[in-house]
Order: sequence, then C-alpha cells, then structure tokens
Amino acid sequence: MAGLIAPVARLIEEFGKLPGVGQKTAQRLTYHMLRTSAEEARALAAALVAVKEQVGYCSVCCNITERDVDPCSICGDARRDALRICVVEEPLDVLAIERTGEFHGRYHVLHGAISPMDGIGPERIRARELVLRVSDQEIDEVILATNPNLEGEATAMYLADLLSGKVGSVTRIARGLPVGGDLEYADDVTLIRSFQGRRQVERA
Amino acid sequence: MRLTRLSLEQYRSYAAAELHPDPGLTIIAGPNGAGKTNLLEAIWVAVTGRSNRAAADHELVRHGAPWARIRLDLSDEHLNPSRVELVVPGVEAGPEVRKRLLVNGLSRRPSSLTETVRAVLFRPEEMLLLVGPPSDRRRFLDGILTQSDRRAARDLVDLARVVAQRNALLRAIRADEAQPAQLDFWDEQLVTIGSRLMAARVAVVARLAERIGALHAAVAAGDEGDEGAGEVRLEYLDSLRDAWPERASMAAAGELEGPFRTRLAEVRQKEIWNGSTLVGPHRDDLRVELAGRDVASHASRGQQRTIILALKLAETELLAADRNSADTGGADETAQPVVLLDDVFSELDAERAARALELLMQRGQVLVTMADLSTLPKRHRHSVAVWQVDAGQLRLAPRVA
Ligand SMILES: [Zn+2]
Repeated sequence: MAGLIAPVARLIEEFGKLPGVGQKTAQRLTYHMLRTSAEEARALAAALVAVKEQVGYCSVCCNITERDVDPCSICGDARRDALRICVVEEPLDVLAIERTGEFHGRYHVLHGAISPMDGIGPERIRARELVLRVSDQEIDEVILATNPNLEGEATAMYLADLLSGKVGSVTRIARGLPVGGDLEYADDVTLIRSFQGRRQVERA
Repeated sequence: MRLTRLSLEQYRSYAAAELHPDPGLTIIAGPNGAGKTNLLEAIWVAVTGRSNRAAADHELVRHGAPWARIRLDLSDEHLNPSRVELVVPGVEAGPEVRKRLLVNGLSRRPSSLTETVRAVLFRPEEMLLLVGPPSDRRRFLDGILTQSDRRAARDLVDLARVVAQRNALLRAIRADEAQPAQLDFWDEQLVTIGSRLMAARVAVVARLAERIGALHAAVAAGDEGDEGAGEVRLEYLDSLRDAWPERASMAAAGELEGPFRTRLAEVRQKEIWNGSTLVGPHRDDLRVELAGRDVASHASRGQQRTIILALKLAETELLAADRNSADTGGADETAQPVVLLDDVFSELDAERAARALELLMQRGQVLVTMADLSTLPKRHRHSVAVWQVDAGQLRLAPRVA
C-alpha cells in the first residue's frame, strides 16, 4: 500500500487475515490501535500470544484446554457421566451444548467435518482418537452431534460405521435444527429438543 | 399480489430510488448501462432471495455503502398492504453477516417469499434457450421449481453441494488419496436428492406440456405461412438412459432410486477417471420438438422465438396456478406473478412483441425495460407510465399526450 509506513501496513495486513474482517475494518482497527495506550496494545499482544502458548488440547476429548489442565475440566470432572460421549465438530459446539444443561456426559471434539472439497478426509478429523478412546473403556452411548448439514451428516455416517460394535449404541441428534445450520447458532430450546429426540443410527 | 412500490437504498448504482409500478404495464426506459436492469434485478432478488447476475450478494451494495435495502410494497385484491424488505450487507460486513428479509416487519428466511409474491424474469439471453447448452434449459425448469416447490428449491442447493463434494472425492480417489468406499454417503445423497429433483422436474415439464399447445397457437396467431404450424412437444431427457423406468410412472421419486443406483454403479469407473459426477439432474436436459423435429436444429429463428415466448407464458401461468387453490381454477388475479421483461422486445419483431405483451399482461403485472421506446408496441406507446433512468436517477417521465 503506497503512502503507508511499514508497521501500519503490516498491522492492516494481519487484521485483514481475520475471518469477517475486510480491508476497511482492518484499517479502522489499525488506527484504533494507534490511538490506544501502549499498555492496552501490550495487553492485546500478550493475550494473542497466550492463546497460542497456554492453550493445548485435552488428551482425552481433544477439546481445547489450558496447557497445564489435562485432562480438561470436563473430562476431569468425576461427577460427569463417563458412559456417554457427545461428538461435536468444534469447541464452540461444546459451549452451546453446555449452555443448555441437557447433557451430563463427556465430549469428543473432531475439529472439523469430512469435506472432500476442502481436502478434509476422515483422516483429517480426530476420529482415530475417538476409536482408541472407546476401545479403552466401556461406553454406553456415543451421541453424534455434528452439524445438520451435508458435511456433518457425512461425518456422522462415517463415525457410525467406525464405532459399530465397539459401543453400546450410536445415536444421532434429531433434525429439529435449522436446515444447513450450525450447532453453535442454534437456540437452546431447539438444541434441547434435538438432543431429546436423538435416535439410534440405522446402518445399511 | 400487486407490486405498488419499489424503493431502493444504496442498491447498485442507486443511492435512493423509488418506482410506483402500474397495475398493468410499466415501462422503464433509459440508455444502455443506465441501470434499468438493476431495477428488475432488485425485485427478483427480493422475491427469490438470489440475484440472477451477482456472484456474491455484496455486489448488490452501492460502492462504499455498508448495506443495501430493497423494499417492495404489495397489495392484495382487498387492497391489504404488505411490505417486504431485504437488507443486504456490503463487502465490509464479512461473510458471517447474512442478508435479512423482513415481511411486514417479521424476520423470514430469504427464499421463503414465494408464498407472498412470485416473479417471472425474462432476459434477452433466454432467446437462445433452445439452441444454448443444456444448462440453460435446466435453469429454466429450476427457476420454476425454486418458486413453486419449497422442497425442490432446497434440493437444488443441496444437489450442487453434493455434486461438488462428490467430484472432489472422485478426484481424490483417482489420485489414490481416498477410498472408493467413502463415496457411499455421497452416492446415497445424490440418489435421494437427485431422484426427488428429477421427479419434480418431470412434473414441471408435464405441466408446461399441458399448456404449451394453446399458448404456442396464441403467440403464433398471425405468423406468416406455416411458421407457427405444428405441435410442440416437450420431453425431459434424463441421464439415467435405459435405466429410466416406464414413462407413465416416472413422476415418483421412489421409483427412480433403484435405476439411479444401477446407472451409478455402471459409470463408477468412468466417473473416477473423469473426476466428475456423470449421472444426475445436473446432466439432464429438456428436449423441445416442433412437428416431430428437434427445434434446436430444425426450427427457424422465428419458430424458436415463438416457442420460447410460449414457454415463458406457460411459466407465468404455472406460477400463478400453483398459488390458486385447485378449485378456483385460473384467473384469480391476486395470484398473478410480477413479470419482469428485461429488454426482450428489441429481440422480437413488432407483431410478435405486441402479441407477447398482450398475452403476458393477461397473466401478470408487467414491468419492461427498454433502451428504445420505439420497440414498444404502438398501441401502448401513449397510454402507459414510462419511468426514465439516467445516471442512477429514476423519475416518472411526463406522459406523452
Ligand atoms: Zn477433555
């Protein structure tokens, strides 16, 4: 960008890489940063670094956790039902389900869904970890709570095959959710309903 | 439903604009590139939730503006007003911010408008409908489905995604990066959604076929010699080939699934080589015959245009008929769609243009764009409201006495 001094141009470029941030917003954020105190800027920078350095993955459920808290606070909570696992695509989905208070078991976070278009095959999601986990311990029910869209269904079907015979039952949340929608955007009532209406996965 | 007002804010070339369409015929005039087509597009976007021209929604937003607003004021036969508003976020909003549709102030899904109002869009490119690639004719059929069959509208969106995912997987299998067994899920989706869509398209073709004869005769009336003679026949050409069941029973989606699977198994190896999905609604076509011969190769330009006009008229009737309760039978004018004619008269001779306009006006509220007012059929030239577009401004032209 002509006429911009290098540090400013660099920050605009970095902001511009964030999801949902266009060129103009990136510029606005950058000029906002120029006006804030050095202290605030340092606090932001520290928070950005910390999120990478102090956050890791739970060795049980693959959800994000503080680096020195492993297993994560949910996996480590003895009051939770250890016989049920709810499988979701993203860490945000765990928050959405926790908010409903409907589920008291544990989670498994895949960090994605099968999508050949995006080069994401079964080996790119944390499916192997799930299989290892259920073969290590007795599990009554695995609830497949991937998003109710094509990629979420593809993932659910793949996992249902993979888990067949290894756990008590495999269920899929009901399709009360908005079609093509994401779990994290669903309201609590809809989410609770789709949990209560979950069904045994029929396999071909 | 009648469109009584179109208002735009920050839409394409318009900072603000307002149009009060006539219940019958409204002319939008102005030089090429002045933004006439943008007005029709705005109505189309508000009704169908999608632009026919923009690849991304934010292209609809005026340069530098945070959002665009399209508002339609409608009125039913008892003059009960309703109000449709679509707000489209600009490029700055980022991909997470979606467009918002409000009907009488209540939030709705931007595609669920078709129970309030429907539209037929007729673009000059469609004059090539019969000689163009099959995708043009599929788009014609799907345009009707999108507004008349909610399920099919959703299926069309899903099918495009299934095909894209499946093609990517086929290429991955070809490159030995994925297992053929991974196709199972996508095959099943393709078969389920694809069969439903094929059945829905076949049903639309059958309903068009019921009407095409009379409409073709009406448009052809007055054509010289035997230009307009001969029976028009429509046939849905499916990619299942010999696997397609008997014609009589083909409307049921369930019956198509078996043959679909069979055909898919036959072409599997070829699909992997090609890295693309070779069977499904996305490979089908509509065949049109006049007097027993394929029109693409055997009909004159004039004959083709007559048939295309008849097809668009049939589309207009279909969209109206769908909204009538079955027993009111026909002419409930509140169910009439808004007919958007984008500069199509320049493509037609005066006679045919006059007849087509007459027939369309009997079936819907008509809005026409034209660069040259002399292409307007004579008898309308002094009797209709003309809106003039120039440099992003829209105003009612003084009536010619
Ligand atoms: Zn954990």
